[in-house]
Order: sequence, then structure tokens, then C-alpha cells
Amino acid sequence: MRLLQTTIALVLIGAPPLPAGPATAEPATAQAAARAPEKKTAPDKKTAAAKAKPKMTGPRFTLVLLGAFTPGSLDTSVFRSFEEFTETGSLQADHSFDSGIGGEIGLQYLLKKSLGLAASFSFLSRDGSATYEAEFPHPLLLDTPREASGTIDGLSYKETAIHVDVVYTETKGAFTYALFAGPTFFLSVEADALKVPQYSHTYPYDTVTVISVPVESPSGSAFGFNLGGELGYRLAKQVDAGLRVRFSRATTDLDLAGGGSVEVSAGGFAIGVGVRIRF
Amino acid sequence: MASVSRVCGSASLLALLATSVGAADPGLRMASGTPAEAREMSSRLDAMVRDGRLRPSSTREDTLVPGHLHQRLVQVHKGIRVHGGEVVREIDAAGSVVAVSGRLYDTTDLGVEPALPATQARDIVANQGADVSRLLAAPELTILPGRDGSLSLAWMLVAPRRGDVRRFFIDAMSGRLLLDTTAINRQTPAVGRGRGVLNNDQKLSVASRGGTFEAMDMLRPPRILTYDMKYDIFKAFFTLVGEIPFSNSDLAVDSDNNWTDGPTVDAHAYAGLVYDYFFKRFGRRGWNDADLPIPQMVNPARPEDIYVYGDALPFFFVNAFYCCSGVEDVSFMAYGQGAPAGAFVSGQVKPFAGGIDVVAHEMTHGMSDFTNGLSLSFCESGGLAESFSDMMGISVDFYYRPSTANYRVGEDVFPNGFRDMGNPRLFGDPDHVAVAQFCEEHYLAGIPNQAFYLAIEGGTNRTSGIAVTGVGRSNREQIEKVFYQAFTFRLFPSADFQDAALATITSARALHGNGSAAERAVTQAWVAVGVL
Repeated sequence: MRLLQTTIALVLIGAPPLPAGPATAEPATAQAAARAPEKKTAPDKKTAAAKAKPKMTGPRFTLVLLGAFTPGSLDTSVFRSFEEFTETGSLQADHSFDSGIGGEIGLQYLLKKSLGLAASFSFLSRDGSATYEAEFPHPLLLDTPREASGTIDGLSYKETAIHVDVVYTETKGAFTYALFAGPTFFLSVEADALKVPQYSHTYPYDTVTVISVPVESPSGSAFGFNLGGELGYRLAKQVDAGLRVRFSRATTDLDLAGGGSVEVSAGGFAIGVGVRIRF
Repeated sequence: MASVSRVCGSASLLALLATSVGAADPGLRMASGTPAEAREMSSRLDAMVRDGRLRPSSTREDTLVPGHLHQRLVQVHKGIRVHGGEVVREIDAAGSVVAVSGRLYDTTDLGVEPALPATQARDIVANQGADVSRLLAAPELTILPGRDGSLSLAWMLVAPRRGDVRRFFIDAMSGRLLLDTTAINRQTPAVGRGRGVLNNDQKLSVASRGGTFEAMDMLRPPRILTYDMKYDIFKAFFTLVGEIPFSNSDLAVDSDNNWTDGPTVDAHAYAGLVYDYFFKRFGRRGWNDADLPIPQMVNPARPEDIYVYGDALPFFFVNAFYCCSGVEDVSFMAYGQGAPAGAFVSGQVKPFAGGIDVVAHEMTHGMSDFTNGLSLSFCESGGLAESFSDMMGISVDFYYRPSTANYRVGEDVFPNGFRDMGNPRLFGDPDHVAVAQFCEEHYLAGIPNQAFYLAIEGGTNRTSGIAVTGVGRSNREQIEKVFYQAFTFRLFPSADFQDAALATITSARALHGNGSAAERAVTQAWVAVGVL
């Protein structure tokens, strides 16, 4: 929240000053004049010009299409316990999802020369793996769990999000830069999580052979924030090349089948490259 | 409204058939004695088929006798099937009936018009907690024979109830629930928990059947079956002498798989653990090394029965035993129920199933029975048999309870135990051949027991003063294997102590090498006890 406040403050500070106009403290005579019946006199051209708001020239909308790369990894942990052979077994699984790739499509609208609103839809996908350690109760012996461990590849993490931002933007020559911040709603956060491995065992059952490790894909949604900056370089009259860095974050607990949950920190730093089309 | 049921007297099969069932007995057993009798029965069965009282249901080839067929005929009364009424006739390759067996019921005069509609029967079943929305078949009108010989017209419904599938019979005249049985005839492995004789927590491998749990181990290669005599000392006795065989109905049972009968819990759990020990340590698969089922008997009497039957049937109290050496196909273990304090010794004797070394001792007698045959008919061979059982009993104790095990035999169930391998003289047993005074197997076991102990732990024999360098407790597995291999593979029914000494030294060399610590320890141990 503090970060969000700071960001909004930044946007306000960065907003261009209001255009110059008549003094706000009018003299008493002027007040009297204002109360007097209106005289049909020709308007002062200078005064009228001074009162007129600055006109925005050029397009107000910008369509942003970016391919995105999320460099950091995402780690989650799952602990599961289960009842088997009258005792409690356990699974500790640590998942690590690599840097991700995704994309973003957004629309920006300039309210004023430098101040605008933007809404973006982003998606992200990561590949991952997990290491696990499991303890399976022994069918014949008390307090003598069989242990198994291993690594599972081929996991995935996916998220989709909508970002709504206040944008401050400036243009200098061919370059446009922008700062933005606002809330993010993660529509879907889906992270693979290992389930209790399936195993085979034969008498005397002192060891187990893991034959498969099922995976479930719990999903949920979350509310968080985002902030970032963007640099554009004019390629054509209405087309820029764009580079965007966005940090978004929301933490959510995804419910697991059979109880428990896995805590996921969605978002992260994303670097996007693409085009900005003004219209 | 009264139930339509009849009770009839008995009659012979031929009488039954001669009168076309009419004057016969419900539940009449049919068994042809000779092929001629079978043919005569068969011709009458054919007549019953023709007039609709029997209906062929299946004909199958005999997979063991080529060319023979078995035809099943089910009994029908006015179109209603008689539950359990069925006859099987065996037909040879020439087409001749050679045997008839089955059971038929006299349904004469039995009405088949139900007073109760099927929908009402369904409601009654619903009131029994069954899910009648998932009936496995439409309600069927049937004729149900009762145990008392009565016949009832009944609605049969099969419906799930609480993880089971039940078959309900509802009297079609009165609406009374006649029978409620499981429709699932299966046994599945289950693991339960229980409290043993010493209130110890045990895990039990049992069987689940029809919502109850039976003390039948289905996870280990052999069936370990624990039969509960329910303190019926006469039944226990007649089972012991072979007059009454163990039956499934004698299996110890528990309704929730949380077992509370201490002797049952310990006997069942320990027998499994002992089997595991022999498998893991020596690769042995039970008594005959081929996973022969292991039956055992618990609760043969109440401890206080010792005052009445203690003299006549002492082995059901302060005792445990393996039965019966040298008798093929009869092998089981039995555990005495102990005795109240003061009845036998000053302290209480607990049920013998409560000692894992006791259970292992008896299991080892079974090993001896199927291997060395060490016989009580010979003086020292009997001592060797008892000693081998003690050795393995103590070894099992050390295997599962290394931090608390010791060389005292039976101390879990008998005050202070009844033998000590480290110091046999504590219990009046000899620790050296020079002090052995008579020929009793448990008494003489003291000498090889002492040798086994010294070979592991080392020390000095109290009688000879000869010191032995043992292999050490951490290497006890070496000596266990030496004695196991020697006793099961090298000894014979009339073996004496010297034979055992030579056999164990040979095994020590074979397993651990000439001049090995194990060979030295074993040799020194037998010297220390005066055998060599």
C-alpha cells in the first residue's frame, strides 16, 4: 500500500502544471464588475486565449503489444500428510519454476498530455521441476517408515492477469518514456504441485519403488499491484518500438485436493519488448 | 399375518425322489453312493426337470477329469426359485451320470402369492440403512430355507450399505427381516492396530471380510491364522487332539480393526514378526521353507481355570507349545493363558502370547520339525531342540528390541523369566556338561544356550572358568547365522551336543572363513561348556 501510495504520488508530481490563467484572487472592483449587468463588449482576445485549455494534439489511444520475459524463478513448497496402514505418511515437495515467457496486450488512453490510464492483459508461463522426499508407513511394522525421494520434471506454472494503471508519460524527440502503477488482478494462477507418489512394494515391504508421482494443478485468483516503466522509440508516425519493465505481485494460497494449500507469489519482474501503436 | 413356513422331518433322498419331493425334508442332502444309485437319482431328476421343479442352470467341463461334465439344476417351486436348492450331476464321457450331489427342499403346499408388495419390501430395506435407490437388481421373489427347516416366501433385495453390498430377505407375508448378509464374498488385506498383553501398541496384518476383520495375515507370504478358542478349554483340547479342526468361524475377529484382546494381538503380531525375522536374516520362508500356513491358538482357557483344569490340562495355562512334531499336516502353535498370582508362582503369569521370544521359540520348534527333526526321544537332541528355540527366540528379541533385549527367556510373561542363557544356573539349569544331572530337554538346553551366549557376548563359563572371546553384540548376526545354518541344515534327529558343536564350527568356517572370529568364538564356547 505504501508502495502504491508512493507510486501515485509520483504520478501526481510528474503531472504537468496547469496552464497559466487569470489570477485567482480578483480585486473587489472586478467582483463588483462581475456582479454588474453584463456589458456587450467585444472580448479581449488575449484574455480569451489565456483562458482556453491547451489542446491535445495527436492520438489519445495507444495499443501496446509485447512479448514478455520473466527472468526470476518461482519457488513453492508443498507438505502433505496422509494416512496409510494406520500411520501417518508425509510428502515434502519443493517446486522450482524457471524464468517464464509470456505476453501482454494493453490499451492506454491519455487523459491529458502526460497523464493517462492503461489497462493490460498479460499471460505468463513457466516450466519447472520439483524434488520430493516422502515417507510411507510400513504395512507390517510400527514407526518404520519407508523413504523415497526424487526429482520430477515437466511441471508448469501459468498465470493471467489484468493490470489497471495510471500512466505518466513524456515524449522527448523520438523517445517516449512512461511510468505507471496500479492494481493487478490475477485472473488465474495455476501452479503444478506434486501429489503423494504411487509406489509398488513386495514382501517384506521394507522399501518402495515409486512408479509415478501424480501432479495436480491447483488454481486460484489474487489481487495485488504492479508498477513499472516503459521506453518507446518512434519507428513511424504512429508506431513505436517499446521496452517495458513491470513488477507485479500478489500472494495467494492455492487449495490442494485433499486439504492443505500451496502459497504462490504470482507475478514478478517482467521485461517486455514489442510495439506501441497510437491512434 | 403369519409367515408361510413349514418344518418337515427328514427322509432319505430316494424317498424324496420317490415321492417327487412331496413328503420329503427341506434341506435334504443328496449324495449318490454308487454310479447305479446316481443313475437312479438322475432319472428322477429328469422327471423333475420335465415337470418344472428343477431347471438346468449351467453345464461345465471338468478341468481335472477330461470328458466329464457337471450339470447344475436349480430348484423351482411354481416358478419361484428356492434359494440354495440345487443339484449337481456329473456325467462321464460316455454320457452316463456317475454322481449326484446337492440339496433340495420340500416346498409342497407352499403358497407363492406375496401379501407384501415389492415396494413395501423395498421400504423395509431402506429402513435398514440400505441405499435402495441403487438396488443391484429388481426385487426377486424367492423361497428362503431357514436354519430350523422352515421355508419362507421372501423378497430378496441386494443393495449397498455403508461400504458393503448386502442381501436382504424380507418375509413376503409378514414383512419381517429374515436375513441380512453381505453379498460380497471377499477377503481383502487390511492393517489394524491393537493392544497386546503388556498394553503394547501393535500393528496387525489381517483380513477384511464383509465389514469385519479376521486374524488372517494376508500380507505375508504364508497365511498366519490366529484362532480364538474363546476360553472354551474343551474345544481347545479337542482341537489339540485333532477331534475338532480349526474352522474359519474360530478365527479371531474384531469389528473395527482396533483389536483389544491382548493374546490375540500379540500372537498374531509376533508370529508375523518372527516369520519376518527368519526371512530377512536367513531367507527362510516359514516352517517348511515353502510358506506353509501358520495356525495358532489363543485363549484356550481363562487363567482362573487353572484351579480346576490345571492338573489335567496344564499346557493351556503356564505354557506355550508347537504341535505336533512329526505329524504331517498338523502344525500349529498354542499359547497358554497364564495364571493368577499365587496359582503357579507368587506373581501373575501373563498369557504366553505376550512374549515375542516365546512366540519365536515355538515357531522355531516348527523349523526344527521340518528340518533337523531333533527328537525328544533322545536325551541331548531334545536339549538341542529346546536350545535352538531359545537361541532364535532371544535373537528375535534382539532384532526388534536391541536396546532392551537380554538373554532371559520368557521374562515378559513369567515373573523373572524361566531360563537365562547368560547364566543358566540362575534357574537351576546346567551351564556345563559336567554339572548336567538328568535328561530333560529344557534343563539340558542350558548347555548349548550358554555356548551360544558366550560365542556372541564372550565371557567366562562359571563352571569351567574358561574364557571365551565372543564376536561382540554388534556382530551377533554372525553367530545367529552359524547356529541357524548348523541346526537347520546339518543336524539330524539323534544329534547330540558334540554333533552340534562340530556342525556349528563347520558352519562358522563356511559362512565366515577358516580362522575367523566367529569360528574361534564358537569353538571356544563349546570348549568352555565342556562339549569339546
